[in-house]
Parts: sequence; C-alpha cells; structure tokens
Amino acid sequence: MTRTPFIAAVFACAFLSSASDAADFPNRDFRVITGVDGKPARSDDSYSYASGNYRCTNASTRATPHVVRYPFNLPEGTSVRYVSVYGRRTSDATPITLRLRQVCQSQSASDPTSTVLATRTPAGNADGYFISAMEFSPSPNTLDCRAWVEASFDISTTACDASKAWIQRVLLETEPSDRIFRGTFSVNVDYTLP
Amino acid sequence: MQASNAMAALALAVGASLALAAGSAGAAPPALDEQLDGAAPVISVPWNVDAAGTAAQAETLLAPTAWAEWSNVLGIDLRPGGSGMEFTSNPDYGTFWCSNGSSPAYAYARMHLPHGSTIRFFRMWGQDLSASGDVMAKLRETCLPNVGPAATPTVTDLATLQSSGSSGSFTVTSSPDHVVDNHQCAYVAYVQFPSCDATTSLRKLRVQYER
Repeated sequence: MTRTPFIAAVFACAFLSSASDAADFPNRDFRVITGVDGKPARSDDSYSYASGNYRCTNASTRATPHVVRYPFNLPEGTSVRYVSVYGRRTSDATPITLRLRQVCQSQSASDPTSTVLATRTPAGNADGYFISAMEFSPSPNTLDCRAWVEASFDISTTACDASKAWIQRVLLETEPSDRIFRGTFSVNVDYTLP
Repeated sequence: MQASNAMAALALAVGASLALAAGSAGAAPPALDEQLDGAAPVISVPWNVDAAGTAAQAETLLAPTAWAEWSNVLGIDLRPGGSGMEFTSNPDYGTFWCSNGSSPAYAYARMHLPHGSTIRFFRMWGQDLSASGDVMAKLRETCLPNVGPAATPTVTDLATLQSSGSSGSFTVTSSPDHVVDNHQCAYVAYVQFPSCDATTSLRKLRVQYER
C-alpha cells in the first residue's frame, strides 16, 4: 500500500527526465575542432576570425579557390564515424564545397595516395546556416594515414564576403569499441586537437 | 563459502573487464612498418626508399611490442615560421612548401605526445629535387620550469633528419630514445627548407613512442 506513491514517483521522475534532458549518446565520443583552427591551403588565402569562426576574406576573384583545411585522426577500433561541418553560406555568398579526404603513405611507399571519402555542397538560403554530415567509411589507419575535411570557397566568379560565408566548427563523432575504458588504451589519436 | 564465491565472482568480473579493455584498441592492431613481425629481439627493415621505390638502406629496430603508438602530422599541419614566408600546399596530398620568402625558410608543427612515453622513432617523408640543398627536420623539446621565475626556455633537439641528393621522394628516420615530459616541456617539429620553391617539400612527419 505504501509502495504505490513511491513507484509512482519513480515513474514520474523517469518520465520527466526523459522529457527534459538533452539527447544522451552513452556510446558516442565527440571531439570538436573550432573554426579558427582551420589552416589555409596557401598564404594568399586571406581570412579573419570572429566568434570562433573562420571567414574567407579574399576580396578579389581568382581561378584558384580559397581552401581551409582541418586535419585530424580518428580513433582506431571505432565502429561508427561521422564528420560534420557547421557553417554558413547565404544564397548570394561564394559557393562552398566540402570534402572529406584521407592521405596515406607507408614508409615503404615512395608516394602518398589520396582518397576523397565524401563531398558535400551546402545549398545557400536566407540565413545560410548549414550542417553537413559525412561518413568516414574506411577503418582508421593512423600509422600510415591522416585525414582532413576541407572547405573550398569558389571565388572564380564571386569573391568572399566575410559576413556571408564561414566555417563554425567540425564535429568528429565516433563510437568506441567499448563503453568503459574508451580512449584510455591505445587508439593513436590526439585528444588535444588540433 | 559464500564469501569465497563472491570473491571468485568479483575476480571473474574484473578479468572480463580487463579483457574488454584489451580489446578497446581494436580487434587487431595494424601492422607496424617499423616493427614488423619477427621473433628476434632486434630486426632490420629497409627504410630509405628512392623515387624508383628501391630500398637503399636498413635500420636496426626494436622487436615488436603491443605498446607501440604514434603521432603524425601532414605538411598542412605546419605553421610558417614568420609572416614573411609565403607557402602553398598540394590540394590532394597536403604537401607543404615555401613559395616565396627569404631562404632558408622554416615552419613548425606541434607534436602531441603522452607524458611519460618514450620516443622511439622520428620519421620524415618529403620530396627533394634540389641539387643545392636538403630538407631538414628536427624534433625539438622546449622546456620551462613549472614553478619559480620565468626563464629562458631550454631548447633541445632530440633528433635531426635530413634528405640527401635530389632524386625526389624520400623518407628518413632517427631513434632518439627520449622520455616525454609534458609537465615542463612541449614538443614541436621544426622543418627547414633550403629555398622557397617547389623543389623541396614536406609530406609527413611521425613520432613513434612507447608507454
């Protein structure tokens, strides 16, 4: 008889918890590279920082695109791997192409190999904010390989406007092979990005 | 008797947890180029590969170990040594080179290494088509005291690598055998290019360590 209120309270707590808590992903690891950690591909790729964002500021058009890269390694032994780019591109802004790329070179290979794993082209809109998710499909090989995600600003016809196109952050999402020890053991990845 | 059974169950649970932990690095670790399979305590593998893919020299290496780990950076991870240095990079491979500026030019990349680990190898990949100069890379330790007045950093070059000739693609390695101290020190790769043109470039750097 006295148990009824207690059980009701437990169910009420469980319901309220599930209704108000943020989404919980107990078996996912998230690492973030902030926009300002982007590395321009060439010294004449001009840029500025604001609110943690990387903003292309090339004011003149040219044939070569402005490219900013975010290199990283993903932990080995992971079963799910996504790379998401958060950014902004308004309808009238410089077109942006996102690429996820992996470069590998073993010590016995005289030249590296390069593979584009995914490509995304965020469509512009009035606000311009976008999230583009790309799957990292090969199993990470950190001994020979390293990956990067790049944003290529096509300034061949439309120059950059820092208020209209930028990269906010890159989110690396992985699912470790065990939930208890996670990265405590060797996964050959820098947790102090970049 | 019951206490004994409880202890046995606990031991079993701990054992299962450790077995699970051992699997966290992946079902099968990748084959290590520098620690190839072999039962002998010391093995040698070819290392200096020329443009034709021919192994020219051999290095003496440690026996295989389950605790070998590594940290690598590409050319695109480099930061120019100064604002006067103009640089560019290969769009597909991330190779980095100085395109304009005073010579020799230099650039840096931070190397993230775990505290207490022992650095076993420092390796560089790149291209050297210059008949008059070589690409050089140093693994550098910069230390400041943790407490006390600020002082001039103590800079130690743990390893120095240098290309040779002008045949193109190269890789060179060194074995510094040094213990990482992140308490007082930081670790960077210092790369020097003999000239600012596309004849010399950096592709990749890797530190292999044990802990």
